[in-house]
Amino acid sequence: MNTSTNKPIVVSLQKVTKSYELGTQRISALNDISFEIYKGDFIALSGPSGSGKSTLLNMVTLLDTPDSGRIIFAGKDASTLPDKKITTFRSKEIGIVFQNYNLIPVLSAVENVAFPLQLQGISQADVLRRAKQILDRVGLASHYNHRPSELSGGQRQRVAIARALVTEPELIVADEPTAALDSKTGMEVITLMQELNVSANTTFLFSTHDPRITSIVSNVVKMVDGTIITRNGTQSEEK
Amino acid sequence: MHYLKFAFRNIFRYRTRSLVTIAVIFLGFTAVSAVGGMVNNIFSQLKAQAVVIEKLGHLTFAKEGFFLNGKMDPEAYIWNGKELKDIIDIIRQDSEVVLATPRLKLFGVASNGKASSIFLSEGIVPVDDAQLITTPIDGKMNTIGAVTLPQGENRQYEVAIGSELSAMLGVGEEQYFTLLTNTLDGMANAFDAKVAHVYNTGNPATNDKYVLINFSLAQQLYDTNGAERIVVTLKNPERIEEIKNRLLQSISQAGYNAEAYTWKELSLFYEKVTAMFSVIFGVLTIIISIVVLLVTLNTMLMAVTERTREIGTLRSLGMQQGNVIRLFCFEGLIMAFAGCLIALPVLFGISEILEMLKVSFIPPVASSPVPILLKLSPEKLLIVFVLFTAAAVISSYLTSRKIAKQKVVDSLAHAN
Repeated sequence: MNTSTNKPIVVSLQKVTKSYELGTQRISALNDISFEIYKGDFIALSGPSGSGKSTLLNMVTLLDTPDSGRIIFAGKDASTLPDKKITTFRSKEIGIVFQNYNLIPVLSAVENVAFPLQLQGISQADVLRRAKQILDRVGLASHYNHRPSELSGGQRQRVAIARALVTEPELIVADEPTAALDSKTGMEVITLMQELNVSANTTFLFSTHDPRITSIVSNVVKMVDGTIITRNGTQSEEK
Repeated sequence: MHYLKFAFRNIFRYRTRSLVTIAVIFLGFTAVSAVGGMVNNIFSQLKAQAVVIEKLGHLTFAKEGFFLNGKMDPEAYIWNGKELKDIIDIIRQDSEVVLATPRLKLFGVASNGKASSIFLSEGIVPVDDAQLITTPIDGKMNTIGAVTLPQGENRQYEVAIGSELSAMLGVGEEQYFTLLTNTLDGMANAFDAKVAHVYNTGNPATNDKYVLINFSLAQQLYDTNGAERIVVTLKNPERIEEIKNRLLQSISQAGYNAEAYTWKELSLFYEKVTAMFSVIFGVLTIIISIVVLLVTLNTMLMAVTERTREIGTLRSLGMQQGNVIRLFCFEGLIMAFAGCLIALPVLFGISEILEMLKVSFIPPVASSPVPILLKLSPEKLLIVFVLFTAAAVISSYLTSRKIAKQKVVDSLAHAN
């Protein structure tokens, strides 16, 4: 529990570093990042290309492992868990929304949304009921049986958000969720995320380039060269 | 979503590549099964040639040492009339025995009055032999090319001769020629034989010298009331070794020393020809299986590589590495099933067509043609099916394993 906010911490990154080999060069993607996300946060991660936004999101979603530092979920260092446990943990606690939606092309909208629940071994009747409920919430009640190829970009992203929401995770992480959409649809998607944040207290962390989006989000984290430079408009301690 | 359903949908989505894989499995399964069916048929025909046409039956009993020394001292290895009756009675008492018939082998000179040639002769009991040639081979009666002698009194001088000997002596059916041989004492003996049948023995080594004669006539010519061998057919030839040992034990308990050989051990060509075809078939199966494995490996590798990002998505949604591999293995399994299943009616169609066309060939070390047919055995089809299914599943496993085990973030970053 964080004393200043009285909200429980969902995830805490402690002195996380990550670098990549690029040819003969070693590129530092994250430099000693420490960062907390609290229950109910709605955080926009902004910064230029190559600033480390995606790398940070990959760390938070446990899709990648840090070179050093710890990623604490529910009091445990999740980055050191074996792959099988990380996969199970991620499927229950983290919802991911991709820039290019990453829907399964052979599955319908409802099947895509139901998929994470099926992986958890939940009964088929329950899975379908919950998947349809979530699709209704994101405004796709009439598109249950549409394949991704039959949906517009905005509709696909809604399906992707519904898929991330369906397991009722602690945290939803979205990497540039509006990048592949036109500005109007992009704003609709962000508005939807905000509504879900307010109505269900769902925690969101997403990256964006779009200044119009950062202007409507109160909690913006700015990154440059693998370092957090400002948070909520204030200078970061790390800088 | 069941993995099977998911796998089916992926197969339909990547139709072209799936079709290539299914086509390769179909062609491989058809080729291996067709060649296997032909080889099966050849083996069966050769077995019929040995058991029925060569008249070896399933088992041959003789005095101990006969097969090694019988030619040097025939008299010592002849069972007399009482011994013959006792031993045949013992053999016939066994419930597995269908037929036990005495035999005598003669040799000498055959002549048409102008030209002569050596002959080998088998003395057979016509009534028994009529039963022997109906012996089922692999569950099916196969009397093609089999001949026997006419039954009845006053017909004991009628013989059947090999077609090449017939040509050499210039004697055909209903014509007479002379057979000159020795009694067991070494006295010359001769008789005029009437040709009842001209036939192909199925073996070039014997077709120019073989004469089938009546057993009672052979006894007269040898001046004996006994026989040198007893040929036996069985209800269940697959249990031949067990029955052979049991009968030998019974004969031994009655105070007689006997030895027995199976038709495979006595056949002049069966083991050689089947060994040759087995090697050819084995090599062909290995080559085709490797081709199927490589092609499916290649198509699966392309499929997996193209779907790397999808695998990353599945993993990020919570699918374990093992389940990703399982999904691709299901796809391989379904395609192998489809390829083999489509091949089955095609194989049966080819089998029907060959039966209608009545194509035949003469196998090496044989002298009579063998029809080219597909003898499709469910067991062998199952073995080929398992082999090709395994090839497809192994291909899927090997190709998906690497991608499933790589970092999720790397899979997601893969550019399709």
